[in-house]
Amino acid sequence: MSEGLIVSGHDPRFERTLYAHVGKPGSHTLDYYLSHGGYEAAKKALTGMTPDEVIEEVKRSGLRGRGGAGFPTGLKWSFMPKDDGQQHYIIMNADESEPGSFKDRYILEDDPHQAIEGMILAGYAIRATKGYIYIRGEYRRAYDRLLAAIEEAYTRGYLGKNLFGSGFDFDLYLHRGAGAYICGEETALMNSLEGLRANPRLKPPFPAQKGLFGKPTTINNVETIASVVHIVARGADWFAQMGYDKSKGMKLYQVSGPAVRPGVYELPMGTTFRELIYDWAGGVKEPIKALIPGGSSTPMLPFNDDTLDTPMDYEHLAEKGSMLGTGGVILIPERACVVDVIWNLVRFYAHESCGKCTPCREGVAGWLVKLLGQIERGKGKPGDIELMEDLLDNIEGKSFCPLADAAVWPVRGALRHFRHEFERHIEAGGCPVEKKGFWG
Amino acid sequence: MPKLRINDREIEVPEGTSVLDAIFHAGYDVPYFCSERHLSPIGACRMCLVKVGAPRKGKDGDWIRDEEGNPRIFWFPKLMAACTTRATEGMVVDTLADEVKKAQAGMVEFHLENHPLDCPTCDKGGACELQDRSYEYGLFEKYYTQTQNGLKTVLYSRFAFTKRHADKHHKLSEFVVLDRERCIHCKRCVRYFEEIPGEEVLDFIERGNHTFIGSEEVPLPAGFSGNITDICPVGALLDLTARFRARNWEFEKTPTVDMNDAFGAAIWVDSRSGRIERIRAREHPETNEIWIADAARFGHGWTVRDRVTAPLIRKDGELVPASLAEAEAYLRERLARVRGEEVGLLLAADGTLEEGYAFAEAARALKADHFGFENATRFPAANLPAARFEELLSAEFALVIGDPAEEMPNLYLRLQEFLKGITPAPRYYHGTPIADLRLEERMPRRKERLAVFAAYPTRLHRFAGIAGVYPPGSAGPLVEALSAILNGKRPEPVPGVPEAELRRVAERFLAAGSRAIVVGAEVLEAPEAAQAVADLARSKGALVFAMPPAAGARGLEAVGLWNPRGPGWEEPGARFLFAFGATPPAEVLASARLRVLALSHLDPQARAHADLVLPAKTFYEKRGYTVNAEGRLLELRPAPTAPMGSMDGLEALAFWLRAMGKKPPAAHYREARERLHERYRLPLDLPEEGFFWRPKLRLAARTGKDEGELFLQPTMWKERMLRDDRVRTALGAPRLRVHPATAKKLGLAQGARVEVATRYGRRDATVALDPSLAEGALLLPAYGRGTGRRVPYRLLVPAGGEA
Amino acid sequence: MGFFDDKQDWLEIVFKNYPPENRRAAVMPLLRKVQQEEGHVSPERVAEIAEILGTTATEVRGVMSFYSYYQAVPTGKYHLQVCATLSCKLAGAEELWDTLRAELGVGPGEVTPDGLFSIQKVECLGSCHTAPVVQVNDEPYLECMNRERLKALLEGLRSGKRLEEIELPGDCGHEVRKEGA
Ligand SMILES: Cc1cc2nc3c(=O)[nH]c(=O)nc-3n(C[C@H](O)[C@H](O)[C@H](O)COP(=O)(O)O)c2cc1C
Ligand code: SF4
Ligand code: SF4
Ligand code: FES
Ligand code: FES
Repeated sequence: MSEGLIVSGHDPRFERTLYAHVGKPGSHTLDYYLSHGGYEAAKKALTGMTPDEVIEEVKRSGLRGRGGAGFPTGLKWSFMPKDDGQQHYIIMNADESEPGSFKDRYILEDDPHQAIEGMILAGYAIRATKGYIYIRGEYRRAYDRLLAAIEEAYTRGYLGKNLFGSGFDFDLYLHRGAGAYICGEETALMNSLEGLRANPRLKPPFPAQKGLFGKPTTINNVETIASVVHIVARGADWFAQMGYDKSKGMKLYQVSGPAVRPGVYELPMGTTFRELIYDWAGGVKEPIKALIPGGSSTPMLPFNDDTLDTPMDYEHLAEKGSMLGTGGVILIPERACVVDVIWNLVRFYAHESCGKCTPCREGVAGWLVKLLGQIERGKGKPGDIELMEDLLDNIEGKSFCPLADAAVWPVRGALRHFRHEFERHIEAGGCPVEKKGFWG
Repeated sequence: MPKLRINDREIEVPEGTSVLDAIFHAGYDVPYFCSERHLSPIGACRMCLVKVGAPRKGKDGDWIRDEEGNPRIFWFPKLMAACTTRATEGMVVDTLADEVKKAQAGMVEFHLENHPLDCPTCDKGGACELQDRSYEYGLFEKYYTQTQNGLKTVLYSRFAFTKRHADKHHKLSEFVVLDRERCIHCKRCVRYFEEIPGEEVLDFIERGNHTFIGSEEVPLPAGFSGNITDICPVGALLDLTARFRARNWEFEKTPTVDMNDAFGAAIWVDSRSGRIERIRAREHPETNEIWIADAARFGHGWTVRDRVTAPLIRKDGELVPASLAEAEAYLRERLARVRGEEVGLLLAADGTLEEGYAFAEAARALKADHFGFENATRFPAANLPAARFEELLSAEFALVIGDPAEEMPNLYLRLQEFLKGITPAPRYYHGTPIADLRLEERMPRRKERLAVFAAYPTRLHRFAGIAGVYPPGSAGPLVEALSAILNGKRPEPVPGVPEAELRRVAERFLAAGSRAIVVGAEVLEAPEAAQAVADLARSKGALVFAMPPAAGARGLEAVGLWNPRGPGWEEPGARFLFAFGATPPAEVLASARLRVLALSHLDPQARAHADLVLPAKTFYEKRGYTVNAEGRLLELRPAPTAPMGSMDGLEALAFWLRAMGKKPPAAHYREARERLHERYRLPLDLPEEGFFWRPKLRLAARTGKDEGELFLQPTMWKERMLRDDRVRTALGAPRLRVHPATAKKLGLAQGARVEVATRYGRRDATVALDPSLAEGALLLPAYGRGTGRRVPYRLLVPAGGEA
Repeated sequence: MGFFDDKQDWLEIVFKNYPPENRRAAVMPLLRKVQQEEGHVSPERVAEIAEILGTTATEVRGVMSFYSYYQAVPTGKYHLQVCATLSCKLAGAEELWDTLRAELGVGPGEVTPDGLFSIQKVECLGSCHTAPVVQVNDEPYLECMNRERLKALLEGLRSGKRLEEIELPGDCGHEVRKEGA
């Protein structure tokens, strides 16, 4: 296990970086951060690299966005205009609201300076002298820690004017959300930050042309930006030796549901479900029938050997008809009802629909959720499943932003692998599963 | 100019065209709800999804080609919203594919899912975009019928749950009602308010499936709110003045021109059984686009109330109905030995060009020296060069002195376009672009392009980089001071406006490559100032937009109804007075011996003074030309609502002249038009492409100065509109606005009810202390007459009131 | 008196977070401040915020009603937000919710007669590995909320303890923060 690609957390060459300090006493303070090599990457870049060299390094690393869509980060950065004389903005997307995802939170809580350093690097690369961290409103501890860290960084010269004597100025601001999943969508996020209703905006113009406050803007996930710190510190090659072909680097996987040790695990991209669930999360507490591989919008897969041996990366999961998403694995126990599970998720998307476009407002939030609820309650009629599939066709790919698709995909996944459970509801006129006894 | 293919047709469209407009331009159709002319495309309703493909360029910069060497078409992986997709070179659009039809039908079904389907009781029924599009694009063979117990029942959507219930009668103002169940969330109304008049008074509340339209600014400010009832694609926003008055197909729809101000906005007059029931905006791209002001739209209720339907003759101090023959005999008797010089001929502010011509000709033939039109300003608007409204959009800087939102509301909307930097859109086969990709939500207003001054803060002040409020009467001095600065001379001080401020205006004026000057009634009442504007326009180069308080001013002046030396509408003079369409001030009437008024309605002064009243047509009922503020010839067409026997100005004048034994210059509009054709080369019929009449005139200005302290503030609402309870309720009691210091001097307390008497009559008002005014200011809404003037007044305290 | 009259310094700090020409960007922090201190945002406060930001009350209400955190109706001193999304559901969030409702005798939008409690279902709080999760006001999460912990929470709050003084019995039974495993 010491040659070729690193695709297992057991590989001795693998070393944790993003979560290296999470859970350590005092890890959120500047002193702790500095004593563990903090701000060295920023110093290295600002004093020894041009912005374009930073972008080049990120491109070479193969880093792809960790917010769910997996867009190549270096390429995204290269879309920013150069020498246009305008204010540029870098935004850290810390809205983390996709059910099953909770990886960004501990970076912000236990290693806020890592996030700040990443923002300095990203800001430098895209020539943004101002950055915002959009943090979901409920993340109170993360907010407190970030606020304190930013203040500390300002007082000790890690934010503000002329960082590391490089002449580069960087100001960092915090903006708190208030309970709306759609704010994680990048253009909705910008509307939210501008004090408008958080409906997604039209693209084009893309954020790099006309983003926050009408200015060129790049927006990245917390994990993405934190990864850049280590790419700059250790080099693109170090990053690129982890993972498969187009899925590189380390990834924060999350496990929730009845695992022995649910939580966040930093592992090389391409780690298998089996390794994650059994070696790191300690195995399962009860029989499992399915897993959601990467946050609630990714279609579920049956819990079998084929799935368990699938490497968790963009390509392998696409092959299985699902997605890596945010890497948030949810285990669905045998005793749960898949229809109920899916209804819960569609209900989530219905609740979070912004209401801008028809297929989502009327399709997902008005119809699909009711139809699923009807089936789950045993009130479904023959033909309802086919009607639902037709609705899915009329919604999928037709909405303004991907939220409606995100509601469709889990239903499709469930129908693909667990259609019999839906049929059984209609035939039996009720949900065969007792919904008590989950709470201890 | 990208070339692209829509189904089977190759077309070429201007750069920046949306696929949606390209489809219509090619002669195909595609459904849409959220897009609307002049509003930003937002891609929300998803009705316009089509299949789009485009060629791609390879690394070598050339198109990637197929085996036959043609650029290969790469189809987008998803259907695209045509409204927000830009048409590009080589694009291929398929609007007829099965997947497109399925998507459209699916979207119709989603739209109908929560819709109440109460079309039979909906005022929009028959003119509803949702009805039409459902019919055209819903897949009825699939959704619309279902057999139940052997019966075929109609099923508009397969949605079989309880529909969303919401407020069905939510009054947004006296004029607009919202039915939240009918709303399809197209956001047109929300975007309208922010993008067109620049007032954020309507928005979506809540989110997702619970989203509804709401406002915390209820009642909606009266001004520009009515346009949302035109553009709402369904019956969610309705005109309350026309609520339940008729089905859409029952209306007689007359295309004519609004004569409440000099803009000349195109309107539809919807009437039924001889009553005007509704006014809607009519599209005229070069003038009002698709918008009109609330006064023009909702201020029609007066036409159906208390019409004068027969001649009225004063007998024993009372006006009593009489036959036309009696009226004729009455008039013959009294005019028998009257000499022409003793006659006065006056025409209302909304008189047509033909009427103006006849009045002017008659006055000339009679050698009468008392003639004119209502609300003529001291300086004739026709002396100022006229620019097209669209030309405003090419200016870089605009100086406004006055209150466009009230004096010429549609010009205010044009100024909003100017502030956003919007230029006229290309014209397509289907006309105005439906999804103009140059427009965006919340476009910043470029305040630095605008300076505005008025006697009170106007709607425009908030959008101006330089904005000032001067005490009434200072418009003239302000213009003169500015002109002095621009001409390198020392300016006289202007009360309330620091010289530095004026110098900043001058700087921006000179720095701008092209400029516009907008002046209202106040400047037109100050002849030196108005002349200075004319001179500035000539010497420095500037477009001028004058806002005369008489709708027909430019044309009436140009056909000779301009009387610089003799008495006019405002001054006593002739002993034998004939006025058409409006009642002159009491002192003018009182000083005459015979007062014949042709009116559609009686007012207190007519009741008190008229000897004979003839039934008159309103401007909605007349045929004729008018010349608007840009010198554009427009045509009025008659709605079939005039009571039998009511006359237009030509007929009434002929009636008078015949009683004098004189031949009328023209008895009929057609005859008048022939004369206009002979004399001024005006067309006999208005050509499709429009016609401008801008004779270069140097008419002498009238002399005189305002003598009085009460400033009559411009209003889009006119006296006659106040006959309608709805309008009165909406406007509330007129406010006598006064600067606190001035109030103290006058002993006026906030909220006190007073009666204000001026030469135009009496008006109840409530005192409103207003620190935003300049010291010394005392303002009362003009409601038409005396707009922009300062007049003497008396304050009377009504019973129960206090001053 | 206006809510923000004596908070001018605070306002100034907030406005520093946004470009001066984009004052209305501060609408969310202002709404949050009112929500935190008054437990809901009344129409008067909406109007006051609009005034401060130079926009209309309609716009402020449009924004406010978009988010689930801001409440239009008064809430209790302790507003208990129960995550109802999948991972929490799989850990018994529905039973937790039912228990809470029964225990407090209130439904959504209501406040207990003593003014102490109100409840709301919310969506995934981003702590799925410590399900079920409850958040009180906008304080840090209460995790792995089993019966005993919920009981201790309610008892503690009823007895007048501050949230951070309340000791919840037991733990999640697994490491919550991973330190490189
Ligand atoms: C409905 C929706 C919700 C999203 N929520 C988040 C989120 O909470 N956090 C996040 O980082 N990205 C989220 N995204 C993705 C962002 O739009 C965006 O792609 C991402 O922040 C880009 O960063 P990355 O390239 O680093 O992944 C969401 C996207 C959608 C459509
Ligand atoms: S899919 Fe449409 S309604 Fe749903 S969140 Fe996106 S834009 Fe809003
Ligand atoms: S009220 Fe009418 S215009 Fe406004 S969003 Fe609803 S349907 Fe559209
Ligand atoms: S999405 Fe509404 S017209 Fe295109
Ligand atoms: S589902 Fe409750 S915290 Fe994620």
